[in-house]
Amino acid sequence: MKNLLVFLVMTLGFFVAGCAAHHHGGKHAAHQSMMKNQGHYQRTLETYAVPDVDLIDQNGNKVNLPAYLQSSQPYALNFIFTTCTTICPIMTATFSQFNRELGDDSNELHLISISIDPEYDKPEKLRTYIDKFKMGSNFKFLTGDLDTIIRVEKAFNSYTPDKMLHRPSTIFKEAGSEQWVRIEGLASGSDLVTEYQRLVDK
Amino acid sequence: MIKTIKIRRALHRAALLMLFAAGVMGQKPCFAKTSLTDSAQVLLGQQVYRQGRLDNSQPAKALVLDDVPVSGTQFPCLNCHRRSGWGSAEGTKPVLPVSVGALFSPRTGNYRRRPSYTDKTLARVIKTGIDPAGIPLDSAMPRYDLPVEEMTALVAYLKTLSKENSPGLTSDDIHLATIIGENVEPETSKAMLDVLNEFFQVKNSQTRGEVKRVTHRGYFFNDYKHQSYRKWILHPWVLKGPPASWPVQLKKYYQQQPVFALISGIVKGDWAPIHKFCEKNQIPCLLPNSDQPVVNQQKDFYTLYFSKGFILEAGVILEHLARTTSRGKIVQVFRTGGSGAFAARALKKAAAKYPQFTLNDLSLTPGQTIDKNTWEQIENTQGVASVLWLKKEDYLALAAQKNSSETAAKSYLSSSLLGQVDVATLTQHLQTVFLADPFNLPEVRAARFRRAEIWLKSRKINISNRRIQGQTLFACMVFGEGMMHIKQHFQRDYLLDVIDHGEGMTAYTNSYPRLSFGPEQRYLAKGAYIVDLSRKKVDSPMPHEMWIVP
Repeated sequence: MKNLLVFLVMTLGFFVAGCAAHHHGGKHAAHQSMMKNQGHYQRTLETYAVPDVDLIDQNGNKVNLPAYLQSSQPYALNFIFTTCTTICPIMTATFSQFNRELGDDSNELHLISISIDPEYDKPEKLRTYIDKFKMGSNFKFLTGDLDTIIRVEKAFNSYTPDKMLHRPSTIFKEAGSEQWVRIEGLASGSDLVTEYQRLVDK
Repeated sequence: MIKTIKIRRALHRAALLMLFAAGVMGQKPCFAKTSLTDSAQVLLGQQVYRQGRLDNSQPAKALVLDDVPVSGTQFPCLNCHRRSGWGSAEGTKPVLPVSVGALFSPRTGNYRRRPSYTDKTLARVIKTGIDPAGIPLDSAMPRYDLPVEEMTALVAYLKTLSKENSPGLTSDDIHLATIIGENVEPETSKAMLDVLNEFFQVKNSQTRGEVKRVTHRGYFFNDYKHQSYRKWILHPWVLKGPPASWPVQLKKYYQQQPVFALISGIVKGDWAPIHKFCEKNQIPCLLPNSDQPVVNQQKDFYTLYFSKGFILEAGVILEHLARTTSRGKIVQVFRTGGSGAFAARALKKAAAKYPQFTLNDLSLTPGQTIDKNTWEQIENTQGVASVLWLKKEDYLALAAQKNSSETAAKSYLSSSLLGQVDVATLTQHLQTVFLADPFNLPEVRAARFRRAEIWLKSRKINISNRRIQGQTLFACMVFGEGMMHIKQHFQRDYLLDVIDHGEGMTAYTNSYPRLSFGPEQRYLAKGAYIVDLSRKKVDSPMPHEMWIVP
């Protein structure tokens, strides 16, 4: 009798544990992958000459690029397009996360995305894309005419003739400095916070 | 120790009952049976896959790059894995397939080796990112925190994704169709058919040898390579009578012989009946020769157009006006029942975005003569501009009616409607004339057409219509590239996913200055020129042209 009861308790215990095991595995896996992913992007210091061109933001307003980048505040810049399926949504979501993690400090930072498919990405399309992600008021999504955009891409060493071949990179600029920090590869929100802090705490 | 037999028996029964209950509980996986029918489950799974939405239409929740919370609507499976589930690649990131063929077979070899997925391991990988070999997926793959009902539905859907070949195939052949409107000029449809027939013949002669090799399964035999070939068979589907009767004819043709895809094609009038047929039956319709496409709010998937045709021209004209004139009245002139009328409707619709202009229509019946009265009417109503949606003869007849006094109003013409006319003729009577031109400018036309010309000449095809033949050849090439990439996975959605990737195709364009592909972009040409014809004088450089993307 006692054996039977013990057997029953153990049986029940196994089945219950079996269900829970899935979630335990999940937690360990997230840790493992975080450890694996540390520093899996490349960081280089660059000098870029910003071309004197006009772009258009998501509200159709003209933006002169060098004038916009003159501000006394730091910048983070990337190149995306709205029908991009793989890398760009991650980069924009990461920008959004980066903003959130900075909290009040985000008021000091300009986030810029420039479309590399400007003939499709008109301001209307930019707005639709932005609505999907919770971007703050410090975010500008820029487009323009194709030749101008190609000039800008080339200036930032980010030009690929076929947009599907574009690589994920985030380019930081410190206020008042001529030097840029280029992050090549997919960086998480906390990675970007780390890099930003390196930039401003010099 | 319990002594009485009765109590012992009762306890025995209770114990057995508990064992049974435990057994039943243990057999249920962590996603439970829901109350949905099988087909309803698959439908919900499709919603989760394509839109990232739960049953209650709220976005699903997920985590990407380990610490970035995102919503399912930002990261629906469809975005990266594509509609067919065959995956994609972008820059440095490959996205592996999640079709039935990929998930439910083991991956051998050295890259991410793993056994086949089961329902359980599939649910686990979606939630936690751990694959059946215990290896975590790349952190770019989101971990989706799906409720039980949606997870079950998604798994059910994934077990159907690109499971079978699409209709229109046998083991030897692939059936394809092209649309020909009965009242299209015979020389025009012949120009198109010559290209199609010749392209098919060349393709079949090249692949025939490959297929024969299959019978000898030597050392280099490769399943996927040799199962990828089919003989291309072209079915010309002639559509007779009024467009309202076309859906019935299309259905009948399809029932007689289902086809894998529609390639190219030409009709007089609106492409809408064919567009709707293709969308309803999920048949790819690749690059018809049409300036009257369907442009609607819902994201239709199956018809790929060169451009928005007259809708593009209308948009470009209005945009040019908006940039050069502050406000005023516009009159548009067209004949009812034809392409001019389609263009006029398009302009009317687009004009809603430009409240600074008031639009008036001046319609002419098909047989109506153009005379002084016509011109007077235009003069009286045009205000700042007239848009003349007229064919060459009509335009010249109208321009000849103009009296000698200058008018400050601008006239806009449509290059698609006019066809080939020299500038001198166009500006003979009217001075301020602008041409909406979606095509290559004259000075580059010959160079851009050269590649197509070489192919056509080498195949001994009479070059009677450069635009149609160049476009049809391009459509064939795009289809051929697509077929090459889908290999033996003959799924229609896969064909379109691959074409969207569009790499390398843009070198073959000839009519249009720029065709660009992109995920789910269905109108390849995005802009057009506005050419200021009045600046064109004999012996002077080309007139001022502005490239506008409306």
